[in-house]
Amino acid sequence: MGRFNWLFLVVLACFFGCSGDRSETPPSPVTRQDPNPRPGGALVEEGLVGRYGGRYVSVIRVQPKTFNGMTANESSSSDFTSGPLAESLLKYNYSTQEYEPALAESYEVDSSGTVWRFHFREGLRWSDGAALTVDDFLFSMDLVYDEVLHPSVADLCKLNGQPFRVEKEGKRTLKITVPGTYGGFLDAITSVRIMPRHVLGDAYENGTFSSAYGIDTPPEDLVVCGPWMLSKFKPQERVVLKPNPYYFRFDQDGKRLPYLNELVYLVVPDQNAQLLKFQAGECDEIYFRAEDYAALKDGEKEGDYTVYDLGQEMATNFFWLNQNDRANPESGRPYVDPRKQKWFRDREFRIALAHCVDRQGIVDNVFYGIGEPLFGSIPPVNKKWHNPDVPKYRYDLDEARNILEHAGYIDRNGDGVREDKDGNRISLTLLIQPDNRERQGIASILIDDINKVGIEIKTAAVEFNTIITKLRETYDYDAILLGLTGGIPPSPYTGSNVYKSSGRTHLWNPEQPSPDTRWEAENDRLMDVILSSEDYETARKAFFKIQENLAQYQPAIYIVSRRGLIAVRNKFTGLNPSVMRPWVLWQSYRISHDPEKAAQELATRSG
Amino acid sequence: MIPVLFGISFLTFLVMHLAPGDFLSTMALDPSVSQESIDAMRSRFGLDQHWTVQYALWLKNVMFHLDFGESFSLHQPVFNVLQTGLLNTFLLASSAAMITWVVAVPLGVVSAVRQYSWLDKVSSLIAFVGISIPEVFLALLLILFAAKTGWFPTGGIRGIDHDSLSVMGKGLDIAHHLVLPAIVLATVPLAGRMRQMRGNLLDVLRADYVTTARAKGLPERDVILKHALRNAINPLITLFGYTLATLLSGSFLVEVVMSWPGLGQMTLEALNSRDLYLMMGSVMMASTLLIVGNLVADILLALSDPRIQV
Repeated sequence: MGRFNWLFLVVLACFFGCSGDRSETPPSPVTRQDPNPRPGGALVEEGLVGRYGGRYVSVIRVQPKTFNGMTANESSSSDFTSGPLAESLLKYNYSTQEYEPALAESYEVDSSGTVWRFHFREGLRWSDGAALTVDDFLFSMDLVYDEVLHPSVADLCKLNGQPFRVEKEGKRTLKITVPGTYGGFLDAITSVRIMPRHVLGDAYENGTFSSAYGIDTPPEDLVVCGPWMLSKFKPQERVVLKPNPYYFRFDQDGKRLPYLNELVYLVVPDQNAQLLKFQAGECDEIYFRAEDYAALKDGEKEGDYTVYDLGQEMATNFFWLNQNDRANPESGRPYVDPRKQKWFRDREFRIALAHCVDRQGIVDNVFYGIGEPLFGSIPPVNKKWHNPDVPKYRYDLDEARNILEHAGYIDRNGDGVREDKDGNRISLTLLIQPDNRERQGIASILIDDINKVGIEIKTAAVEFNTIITKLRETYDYDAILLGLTGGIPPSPYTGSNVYKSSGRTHLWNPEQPSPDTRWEAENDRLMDVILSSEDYETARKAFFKIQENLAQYQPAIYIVSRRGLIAVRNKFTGLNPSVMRPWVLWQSYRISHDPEKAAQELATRSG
Repeated sequence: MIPVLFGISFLTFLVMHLAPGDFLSTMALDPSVSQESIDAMRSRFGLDQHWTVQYALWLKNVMFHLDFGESFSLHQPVFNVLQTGLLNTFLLASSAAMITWVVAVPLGVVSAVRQYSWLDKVSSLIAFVGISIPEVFLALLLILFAAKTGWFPTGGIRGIDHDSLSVMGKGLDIAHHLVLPAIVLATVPLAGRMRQMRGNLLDVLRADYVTTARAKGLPERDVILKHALRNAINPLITLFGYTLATLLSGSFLVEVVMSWPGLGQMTLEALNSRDLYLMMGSVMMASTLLIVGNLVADILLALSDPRIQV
């Protein structure tokens, strides 16, 4: 027995000896060998200086499913293929909310507004050293318009169903002719992932493109043009990236970016486990929930990190009433009970509901005060497109009662619930997702207030996929509470499906054969103006009017949006936190591991 | 065995199709994707055909070509995707099974032999707490413990510098990461087995042949370990296969919370995204493991009990 005890203790000692997962950065060289030639058209990041070395560890909930930028169609994959592994013709700057030169050092559009020219930088190379040219972009557009592949970006790259014409002009100019003026052109063309023809051309020829660049691809075969390339991928565990040795961005001192030696993403599916990992020092950033704010704020000094309040998020929370008054073609019966349909289509009814939303109360109770009231789909933080002058129906239960009385919804039999003019009890069900605690919190406060003004409303938890089926196919619901995350960049050009009455995701009444109401017809027209507009001002005016109409008629009633919160270790400089994903890593190539300089910056910030 | 697998596969397929929506449902809500794109994808994945047709196709591929299909989201053959997950889950489940047995049997024996002693009372307490505590809570509690003390990693299967370690180092690294998840997973079955061991042994110790053995003058140690234990352990061996099976399916929750990259995580993701073939492959693998586990139990029982003729 004694022998076993001893052996056990030895093994135990070995365990405690293993330092495990602490993100202690091993001593790394401050210089880095850069044998590759500096491109003639190198992009210098003005005013940026930093040190080589270090590692930055982030966490993700779900692993990427593919590294193929063209076929990736959900965020866990596109977070990589459109993120650290990629560069586009132009880069969207999260701080200025404008496009900046990237692969293209300049661009212009001619006087007709339909012919665009992009001038590629000189000396661009892929991560394997091969030259990156306009031909690669032409190859990518072939992939975009391929009928079999049909990547989702194809829909953006068409105007009225017509594709663009792409040509090469001279050595480094890409000429694109659009069949008409297209306001969303830059958004569309920067969403096209440029693919290396010398690597994937053959796969395209023999039809195996969609399985190319899968997660089983050996890292050295994954040729990319972004700041990072794949170093290691352990399925379900982590993604490890290393610097692209042929990257075209340099700092002020001529050092090729990125500074860091490694960028690591750990796969941690559980939100609580992520938080604990951060607190244990095993990762360097965490985007967290309002409920974790107090705990994280307290630990700032001890954990040597800073909590950043990123401001109002673009993700929205709202609910709407089913205004689909059509009949199911098979059964002949209307989708929605016609008695209820009368209330839902009554603007006064919806305005009264809008007055029942205690936005500040919801912010305080559900989001611990870390949120902002929301009155439309475009929050104020979206500086370019937010219309501040739209009617806002504030929390006022008495006003709600007044409106309902005047509209004929009166409690005639004294049971606490109003009836409409025909004597029907006003009663409806609000569908919510069962697995979203914040939305459940919102729902309980909301229905409490609505019940107070004499409308009987209950919630029902329904699985997300069922909600989607109901709102797109079966239309058998009264009201739904949902939220949408914003696209990046947050512009209306990709919003046809939502804002147009014929749109698939025109939530309260999708795919109308012809616009139901005068204001929806007007919004349809305005959406067309936006898509075909040549300049931002025209598009902005049109979009402002759309927002005005939506606010006036409240087909969807907006509630709140939370403020983004992220905690990042103090040992890094070059951070430029933004409320849009990926918050800090959107400029990963500027991050430098420099504890002394970071401490100085922290002191000046708080001093 | 084969009919069971048939039945399981059929039921799973049916249930997946009864649930509304499919792999492309979430994409349908994305305003930047057109209906044509979605229709094109739907026909490419074969999701526009009736579910019986889909099932027949799947079955044909599995039986004649051993082809479990391709994952919609990963564009990889299902078997390749599930391999590592299967291995990792098996590692976790067997470690948990080992812990269960190595701790439950001796503890149960000691509790029975020294009934009502303080050791018995303490182990009973541990057993009751172990059975009642929710797994998720225990997992989070242990992660918190790891975070605060730094003695154990807070999740995952490998450390961040795993690749620079020697072979021995790598093995120890994985073992180090295995400790907490295995403890969480083993807690409930451990408590159960320990109480059962204790109960069975107490029953056996009252039997006549035990009194006879004592009367014959055999040392107490032989009476208990050589005669009584072998009889008392019979029902537990039957449970062994069942335990392994429940550990394999029960590991899903622990894997997700403690980021253990096993079959559970993959299956959950496949379920959430309605990745049909990945889901089917995963269920088939889990079912096969369950059946194998039961087979092992039967064999062990035959070996240990001379009354059973194979």
